[in-house]
Amino acid sequence: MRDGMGMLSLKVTPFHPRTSELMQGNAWRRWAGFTVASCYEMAPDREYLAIRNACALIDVSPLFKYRVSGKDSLAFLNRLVTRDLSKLSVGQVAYGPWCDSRGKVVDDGTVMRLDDHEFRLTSAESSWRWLGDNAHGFDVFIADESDETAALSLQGPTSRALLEKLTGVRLSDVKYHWMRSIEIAQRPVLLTRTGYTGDLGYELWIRAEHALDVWDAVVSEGASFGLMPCGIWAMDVARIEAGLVMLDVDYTPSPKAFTANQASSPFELGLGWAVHLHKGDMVGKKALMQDRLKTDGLKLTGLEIDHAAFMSAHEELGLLTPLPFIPWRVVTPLFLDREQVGYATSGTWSPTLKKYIALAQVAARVARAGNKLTIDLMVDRERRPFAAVTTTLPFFNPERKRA
Amino acid sequence: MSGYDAIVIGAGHNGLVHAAYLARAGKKVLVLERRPVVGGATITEEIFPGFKFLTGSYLISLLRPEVIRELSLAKHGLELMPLESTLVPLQSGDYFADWPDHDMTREEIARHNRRDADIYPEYAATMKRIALWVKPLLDIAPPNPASNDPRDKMAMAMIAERLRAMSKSDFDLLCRLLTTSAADFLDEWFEGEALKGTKCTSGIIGTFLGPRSAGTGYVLLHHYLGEIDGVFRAWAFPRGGTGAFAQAVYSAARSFGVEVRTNAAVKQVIIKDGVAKGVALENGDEFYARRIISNADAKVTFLNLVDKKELSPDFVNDIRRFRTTSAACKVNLALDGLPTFTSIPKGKEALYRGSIEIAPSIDYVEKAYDDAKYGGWSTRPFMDALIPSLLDPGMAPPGKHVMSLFVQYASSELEGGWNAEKRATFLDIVIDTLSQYSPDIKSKILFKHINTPDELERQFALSSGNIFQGELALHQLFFLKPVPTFAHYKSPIKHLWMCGASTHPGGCITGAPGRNAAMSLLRDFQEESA
Amino acid sequence: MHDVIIVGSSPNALAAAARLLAAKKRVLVLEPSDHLGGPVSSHEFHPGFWADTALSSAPLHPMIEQELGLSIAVLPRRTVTVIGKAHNASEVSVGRFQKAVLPAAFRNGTALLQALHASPVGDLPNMTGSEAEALSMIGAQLLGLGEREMMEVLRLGFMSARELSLELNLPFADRVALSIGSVYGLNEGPFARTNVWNYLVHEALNDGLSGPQVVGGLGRITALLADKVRSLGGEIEMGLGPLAVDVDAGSAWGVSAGDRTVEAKRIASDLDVQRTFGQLIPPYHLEPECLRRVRQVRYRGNVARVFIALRKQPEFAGVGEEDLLGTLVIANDVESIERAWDEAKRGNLPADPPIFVTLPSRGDPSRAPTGAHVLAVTVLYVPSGWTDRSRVKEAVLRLLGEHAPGIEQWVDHVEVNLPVDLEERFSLTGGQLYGGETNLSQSFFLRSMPGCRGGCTPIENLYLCGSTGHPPGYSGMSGWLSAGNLLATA
Repeated sequence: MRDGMGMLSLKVTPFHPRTSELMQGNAWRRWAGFTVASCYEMAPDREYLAIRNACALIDVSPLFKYRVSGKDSLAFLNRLVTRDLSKLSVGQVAYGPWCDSRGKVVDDGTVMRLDDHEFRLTSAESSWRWLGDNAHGFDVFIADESDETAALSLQGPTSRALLEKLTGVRLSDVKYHWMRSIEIAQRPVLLTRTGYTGDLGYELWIRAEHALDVWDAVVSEGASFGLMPCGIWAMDVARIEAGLVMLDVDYTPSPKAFTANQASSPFELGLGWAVHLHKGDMVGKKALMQDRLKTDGLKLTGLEIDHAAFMSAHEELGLLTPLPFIPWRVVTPLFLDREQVGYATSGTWSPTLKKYIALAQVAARVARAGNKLTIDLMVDRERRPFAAVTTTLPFFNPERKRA
Repeated sequence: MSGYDAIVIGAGHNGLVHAAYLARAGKKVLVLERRPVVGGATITEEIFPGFKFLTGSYLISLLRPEVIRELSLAKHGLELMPLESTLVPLQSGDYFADWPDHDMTREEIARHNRRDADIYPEYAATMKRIALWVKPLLDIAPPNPASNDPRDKMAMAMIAERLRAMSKSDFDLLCRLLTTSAADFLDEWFEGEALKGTKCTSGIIGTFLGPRSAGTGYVLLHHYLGEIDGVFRAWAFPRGGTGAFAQAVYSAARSFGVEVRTNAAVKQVIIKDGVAKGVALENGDEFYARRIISNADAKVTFLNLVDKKELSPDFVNDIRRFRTTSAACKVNLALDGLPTFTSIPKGKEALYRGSIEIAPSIDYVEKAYDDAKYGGWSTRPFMDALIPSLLDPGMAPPGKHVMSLFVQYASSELEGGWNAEKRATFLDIVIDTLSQYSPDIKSKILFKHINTPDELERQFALSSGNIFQGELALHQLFFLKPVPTFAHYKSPIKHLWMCGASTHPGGCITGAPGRNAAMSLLRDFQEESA
Repeated sequence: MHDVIIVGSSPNALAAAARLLAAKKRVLVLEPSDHLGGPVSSHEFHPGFWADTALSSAPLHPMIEQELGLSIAVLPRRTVTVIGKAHNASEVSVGRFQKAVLPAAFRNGTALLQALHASPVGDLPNMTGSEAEALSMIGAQLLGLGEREMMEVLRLGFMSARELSLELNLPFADRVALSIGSVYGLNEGPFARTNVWNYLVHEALNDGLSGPQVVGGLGRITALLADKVRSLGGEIEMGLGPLAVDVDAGSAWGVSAGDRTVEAKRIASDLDVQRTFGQLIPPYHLEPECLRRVRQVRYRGNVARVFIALRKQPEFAGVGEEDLLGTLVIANDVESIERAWDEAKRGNLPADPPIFVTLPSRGDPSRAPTGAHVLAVTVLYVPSGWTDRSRVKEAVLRLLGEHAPGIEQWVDHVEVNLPVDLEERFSLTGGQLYGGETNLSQSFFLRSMPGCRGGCTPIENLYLCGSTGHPPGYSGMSGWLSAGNLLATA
């Protein structure tokens, strides 16, 4: 594959020897410069059902991982991210965004408190320079552990039982957004109760050289728990159901924004709950104080598209309705009367809710649940307007996620 | 009187573009070219049988999309093939590469410096935003800030308006970029030597300054104004070489009715009572027209083609002080096969198809400048190499290749002057330097050719061999280009105009001076008949 | 509680203090070191021998001098004599810099810069009404020159000393003096463009090669200003050691020295940007983008000051007695100056660094014991991090010996102040004498750094008032303008 003029290749994750064997439909995709599976089987349906009904194993190694240590590590991170980390206990995990000086979101991710003066930060984009630019004057040491750390996401109702079987340890006391050090196949694994599916689930942080051992153990034991390796398409359905935003899809990270108004404030992304303005100084605080009071910006909202109308529009033409099982990621305008009031950023058929749902950015005045907007969708070869009602997020939030 | 509306002196690409625009508007136009071929320095020459050499310009980036569209150049045979990569072989044996893909480039930059990789997209976006702002200025005749003419005032107001529309940080950055050195500017962004080495070369191409000299920031910006099919900062190779581009413009011009005569060297502009009436050729022929437009550079035009009696001493002095010193050379090699660049790893052979830059660090390029700036040449020059035959097999016989090299620095003011022996010596230096990165290249050379500044001057009538018909410098820019108070393509001689790269916006294959001058001249015609 | 605390005590700081006091503000000046004036000061480098430590000249702006009713005695330096070899010449020539025969654009450019220096430069392109008004007045002054002359002035600042010398066909002495004046304090050679701008900047400040000598030494300016500040009711404390500005929630509220904290409504820093946002306050009080701009300001000082105690008045071959009241430039032709820069940019000490020399004791006997003399040498292109004093000393003595034969035998003492020494002594980052290089790219609204208009900073109630801002230099104007801005926003 590497021979010959012009054959270039992307990086592969530590699980690639296994994931490439599973691949049936050659449905690879790029993620942060890596080759990962969109879906292993010919269609993503069964992989999605595993997330909601059994458990799914997702290779999330392309996430960027940084270790932050040193005397000022808490002060440094607390200035960096919008959440107040001072109350984060050792063993706890916090999700949130971080912003630039204009209060626009640079990235979002999790902060794990490994020890008093030791943290791990995960991000969607490389954050090496942003962390470095913010570290001046702080006594901190930042290490990029992205390449030496493999990551698996194990999501779904049977994930806990599977892990308990694998480790012989009771895990019900690992609460939502807490962590524990465990062993799988005699390999040390950091287990965090986190995920990107809105379901009961865990993420496993593994040294890259142990990646295959852990994978093999999980897969072989997983058979009796309904485990399926799962690609990004299925995870994307789940994260839309869970109302979780995705960088580059639902928002443009501020360093990538060509013009200022392409960037988003956390309040626009529905992350206002993660902005703790009462804590000390933080990057972008001044701008965030003002943004919080703004009433003219955009707001993240859920949309329920009138699926019945969508079906009958197809039936009128003598067509079957194609269910969008693979989420779309095309910016699609939303209208109130004839005026554009926002745009949807990603949408999917929700097999669990039996609804056609989407994430959208709409003018704050129409963001409250129950506003009836219009979205143009393709019906065969025609663009037709359909009703889309704003709803609160998440669409799906099972008790087992936190139980 | 032969009834021409306009005579254009010189069939370089701007002369042809200019003539085409005039003819397209219904004017009767005659273009007179000294050489037997059209294109000026935009030329492909078969100096060695079977091998097509790019003896002047070699790539296209700043060509205004309007020119392509308005002259229907695609219809007239223009085919542009974007260059996809840049390879910088390093002295350590490693390399640095710029790929046509975001992920690949990111990974490559990160291999050298992780911080640079993170900030690179922001740098690229910022430069594009600034280029977007500057670009419209390329397409207007520079307004005179001291003038009360409503047209000047409107243009100045447009510029001010655009300035206010920029974000504050972009505006600050633009101002710093214009006034600082390429090295200082890049230091503000990057840490990695190889990345800065290749990026700084945009600041010195065609400019006799090192990357650490203030003034190179502006040249860097100039080279960021290019776009190919809407892709900024892209460089393209025209199928058939840059000569084929000139042929496309020539064909377009002819289709509009332009008459072109080659082997028709203009000796002097005929001026009567302070008004340009026509031109006299070396062979004694005379042609007359309502307007005479010179595509030659400002010095050639006013110091050689115009009787000095017709000009004020102040204007002559202004023209004399117009800076044209140069240090750029053009080398072409006919090769018996593809040379091997030892730093290119297996699997990345695609890099041969892109630009190969010998610019491993800012220090390397600066040293090359230091060697040359006192009237010498670089002992290890900066080079931008290209193997056109990989992009267009028609450039060389099957299995053989052509390599085109843009080389800097060899002074146009060489101590003791240039001669054949010195040209040969410098050519050897170029090849020795190249063999450090491609040890087998010497064994593959069938024929080698160099155009040093004196040769560029002799062949293309470029003062001091300056490839931009005058240095890109702030003090001779925009409303000061080529000289103060004559930046609107006109001259002190009534009906004598300029349309070459000496005028705004300057050098490179842009077509912009030719087009802008035509727009102004057509308005002049209109006002005259009104 | 004080209205304003000023950290630092250069003439800029003191001028700011005086202006604020005149507006009935309670002002406290705090100086970390044990001397006032920053680089505008003198010291006794050998018993009985006094030197103006960092600068050969730093006159107060005439308007400030007048406003404050000060009278500072100066000795003009009427001549600049250039000693050296012209390109390809075998003999040393001695010539005088004929400033008066330079084109009118020099004088017009200088006048315009003086106007700009006395004007609060707005945050282009979005200025406040008064700033726009001030700028449009300068624009009118420019347009008033007429189309042709206006363009001549505009060209000038963009050019290199070398290309301008060629263009004007300047004689040896003029092109060397122009080159030295253009690169003084810059990290560039005479071949680099826009350095004529720097020449004009120093002409406008009147602190260049022919800037006047202050009778009693530069410290005299500081002393007079300090007296004025005290007489207006201002307090000045010095010798406080490292100071810290206290910041809370993005707003400055006081200054601490050790355990002691003094509160104030406003704080003004006379330090450069890097020190203000690195030493006075921890860097993390700034937003990361802003901090990046702080780190982008360039401070590559490369000027050393060497003082020589001489038992006797030196004699320079071909230099007249009265020329010793002026400035002597010892440098070969423009190419040699560029070659010296070539060495410096690679971190080496040039074999023949260009120097300029003054003999302050010639016009002001108080500078040295009777009959003895002080030779003050400004050495260009000593790399920022250079630490070998003896090599600089040797080079200077050799150069002087070549043109003033026998001078070695009258040398009593030599003191070398490298850029690192000047950095240490006067808190000048990189040893850069003007709190940031004075290139065109660090001028006007780009000075001290983009986004710090009129001394404002991103930290509320914290201002900059030193040479790091607009205009550069120690004329007091930067502090004066900053104080004006502070009063306007109070």
